[in-house]
Amino acid sequence: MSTILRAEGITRRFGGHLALSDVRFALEEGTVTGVLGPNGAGKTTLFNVLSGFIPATAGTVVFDGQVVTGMRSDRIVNLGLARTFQLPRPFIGMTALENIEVGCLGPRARARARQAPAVQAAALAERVGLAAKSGITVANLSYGDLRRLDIARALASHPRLLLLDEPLAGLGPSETEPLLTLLRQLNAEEGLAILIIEHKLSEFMRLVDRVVALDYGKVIADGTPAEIVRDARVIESYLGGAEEMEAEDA
Amino acid sequence: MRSIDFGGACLAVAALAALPLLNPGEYLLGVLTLGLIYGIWAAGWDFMSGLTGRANFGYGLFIGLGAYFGGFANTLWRTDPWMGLPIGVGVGVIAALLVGLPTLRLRGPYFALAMLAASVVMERLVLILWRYTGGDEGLNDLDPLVESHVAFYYVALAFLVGSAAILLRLSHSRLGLVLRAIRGDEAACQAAGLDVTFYKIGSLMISAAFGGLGGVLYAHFQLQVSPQLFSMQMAMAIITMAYVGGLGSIYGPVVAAIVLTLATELLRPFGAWRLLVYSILLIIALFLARDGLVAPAWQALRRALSRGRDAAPEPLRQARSPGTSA
Repeated sequence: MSTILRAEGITRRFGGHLALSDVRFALEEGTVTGVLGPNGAGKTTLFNVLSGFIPATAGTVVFDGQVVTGMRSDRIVNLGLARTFQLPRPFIGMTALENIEVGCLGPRARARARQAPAVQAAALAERVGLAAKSGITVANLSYGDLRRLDIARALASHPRLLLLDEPLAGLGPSETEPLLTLLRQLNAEEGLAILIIEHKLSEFMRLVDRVVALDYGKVIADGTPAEIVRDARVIESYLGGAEEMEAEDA
Repeated sequence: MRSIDFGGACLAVAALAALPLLNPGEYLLGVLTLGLIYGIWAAGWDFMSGLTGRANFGYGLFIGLGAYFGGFANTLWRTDPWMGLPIGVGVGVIAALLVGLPTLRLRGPYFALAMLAASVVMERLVLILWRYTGGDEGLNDLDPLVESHVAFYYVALAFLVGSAAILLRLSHSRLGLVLRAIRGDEAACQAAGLDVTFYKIGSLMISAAFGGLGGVLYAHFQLQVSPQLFSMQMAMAIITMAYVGGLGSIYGPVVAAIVLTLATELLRPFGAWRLLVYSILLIIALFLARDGLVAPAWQALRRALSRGRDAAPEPLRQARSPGTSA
């Protein structure tokens, strides 16, 4: 397997606050990697830097053999690195289908599409399970549907790596399982690499192949879920010395 | 549904086309012609600012530049008055590119401020360069585009219909979808792989083309060009029309432009008070009817019409599009 993304010493400073400090890791193609860490550890900042939404103070991001640090965020998307947001960000006043169609209008989506954007959007709505609701304006969609919508819009650009920022947050059990199934399918069937932030630990640990643990903007551990849950520093920072995580045996 | 829109548009155009036959008199015809030109401006303003949500307080820049360059072409370079139209459009588009390139890549108030500043600076420049521009007096003695007032009314109507048709078409195209998405959430557009700056500058250039076009038409309507075209009042009048009409609908601002131009001209006996009408209408539009008055009224009428039409054959109605079932 070859490396799809490499973070080389990413540092991000907000005034006097060091949000990310010399973060280094590499992602293999077609793998699911999780980012673990307590609130304020720098996870979302890391996503924002990787996707070009905020510049890094220092360090380099290499995606698919190309340095993307300093590149405009929409260009990065068009190289095949897509993202969703911590809070769903639909286009208000449009239908679900129109929302997805906007994602089908980017250069990468159009170059790879064999059908018209509206047809493509309908197929994506089907893929994420929104087909029945595609004509509904987003104001009338549930939180779970909005998450699916965000993912469908990101998938429209034919990404090779998808950054998911807490995709399960705010979802009930009936919405969580189908979404996890979808993510597993995307990974298994289309070889989509996923980097995911998620606080629902048992689901998180069952989904990921590997975990990068952050605390205070630094990588404190990097390994398989089984290794991570036994890591003393992770237990201290994330669980505050609490009992073992139930996901250990998963 | 689409057929109702088309029918409504045809009816409105037919009514406007029939108006001169009623012999309204030269004054009223002139006011109507002015309303049609304002319609082009209001639609042009709405395309960029209504769809993307970026208010443009300096639309007078495009209007004034179009009018002055159309005027220069006619009075200095002695070109055919019709040649002024492409010149005015071109100058407007270039000005949009020059203002848009540095400011539309930024978020925040830079674009609004730069547009406002550019129009104010141009207004002053025209006075400073009075040797060439005629200063306060402006450019005079332009050739008319066509001989009669009635003929000019039809020329203006044709340009308004053409402009509105192009802009409506664009606003319902993929470009329009992207512009509405930009209004909703720029960051989400970037996450969708769209070059937001490119679309914003492009839409400003399209918007400016119609500002310049209307400017040249206006110049050949008044046969005179004056610095007031650059003014903030000019832009505010157009913004009011767009808000009253319903932002982003294109047709709403067009209707509002015609109605408001008529209304303010008829209120002329009240002198300075008539400007109050604009302000009050804008306040009403902003506070009481956030989506404007014209577009929501048409949507309501359209729903009522389609309900009335669908009510009778409802059990039989299978086809989704009214075009095939009719």
